[in-house]
Amino acid sequence: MAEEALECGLRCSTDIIDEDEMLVSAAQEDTEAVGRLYDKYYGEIVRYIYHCTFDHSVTEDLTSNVFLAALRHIGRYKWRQIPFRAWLYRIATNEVRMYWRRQKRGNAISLQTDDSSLSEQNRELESGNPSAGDRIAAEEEYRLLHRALLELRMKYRTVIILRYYEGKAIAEICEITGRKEGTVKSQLHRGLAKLQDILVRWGVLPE
Amino acid sequence: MNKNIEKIDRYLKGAALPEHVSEQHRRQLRRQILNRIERRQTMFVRRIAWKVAAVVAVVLGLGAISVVGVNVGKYIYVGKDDAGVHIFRSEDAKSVVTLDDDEVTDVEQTRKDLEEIEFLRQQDKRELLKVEEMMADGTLEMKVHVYKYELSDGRIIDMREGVGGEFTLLREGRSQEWRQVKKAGPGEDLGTYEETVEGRVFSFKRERYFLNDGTEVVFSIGWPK
Repeated sequence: MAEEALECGLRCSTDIIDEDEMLVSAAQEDTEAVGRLYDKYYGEIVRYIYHCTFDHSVTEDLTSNVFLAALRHIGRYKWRQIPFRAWLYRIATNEVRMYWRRQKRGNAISLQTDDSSLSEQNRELESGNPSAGDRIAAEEEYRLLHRALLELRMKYRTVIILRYYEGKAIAEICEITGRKEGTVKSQLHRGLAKLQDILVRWGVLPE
Repeated sequence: MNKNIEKIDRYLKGAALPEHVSEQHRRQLRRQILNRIERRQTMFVRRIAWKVAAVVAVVLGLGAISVVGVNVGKYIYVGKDDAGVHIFRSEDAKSVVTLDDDEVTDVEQTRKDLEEIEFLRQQDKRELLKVEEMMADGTLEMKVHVYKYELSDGRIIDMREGVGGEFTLLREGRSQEWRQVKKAGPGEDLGTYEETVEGRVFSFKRERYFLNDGTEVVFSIGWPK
């Protein structure tokens, strides 16, 4: 089972890549194509950034940065030898990295729930929405995991999130991080071992 | 080697992931991005040319515009309409070009540019960049080809040219409503198809929208493969 996590293989179909190539090339002159690329990838990128930061307002800010940066540099994209999706994830990964660097420098990492998230949770619970309870339970469960992930170095955290939360294949993680397959596999393996140690130490996982 | 990470592998695979959902942010950012690129395109065109890129060739009570095959050489400046839009038409009145006020600084130069574009068009010295097709309740509302022209002084001009359709919504003054519906976000995805246009294969994406009165609009947009 664990071997699957380290297996290599491209998940992107040729069709998707072709469609993206067509849209990206058109996007340099056409707002319609830009809108379509945005609609196609907004959900994925916002989810990835949220899993990395676990903060609603930071997620929105960083997602905006990603798409605005991609738009600014889209003319240069054709010289990059990676699919558009991987390119967007790479920008997002850099944004997240810079965010954590700023937080570290300012020593302002907060593991508390942000206020907007709390008030949103309260509103949802009051509304009696049956799925709200599940969603909040999922967030609570994730909070601990996220805390453990924050104990890891950024490079380990990134590959674990990409592999397990975003369901990326090793080949795609290589494209996103710009690392070789062997390096990614090794980072994933080491990161998982460290994460397991932390969770065992915290009593979340059995020894 | 992986025995020692089996526990964490299982744990991560079973973890319930939280989601961030904000329709408001999605829409705001979409608007911001599209506004920026529209501004950038305008500036780009202004730097190298006057803004014919924003020209929308429309029909002004003449029936569907048909640029293809029309033997027009000269353009006449008609004047401005009530909204301040400049109107040019071909001598045989079969082709009409409208330009916003800020897009015309020199009427005579614009008229000459249109004639040069017409000359290039007749020689087919142009590149088809995009095709748009709009069906309203099953009737072809409009079909537009976007061509790129390179003028003799090196300026690049994009021209939207209507090549068919009834233009019913336009005539009923509902084009603004349609633009708002379209700008609000993508319609229902009806899939993709390929079609050969002027000898090149284009990939089309088709989407369905509904206007306030229930009119079904199917909009297809195609780019060369």
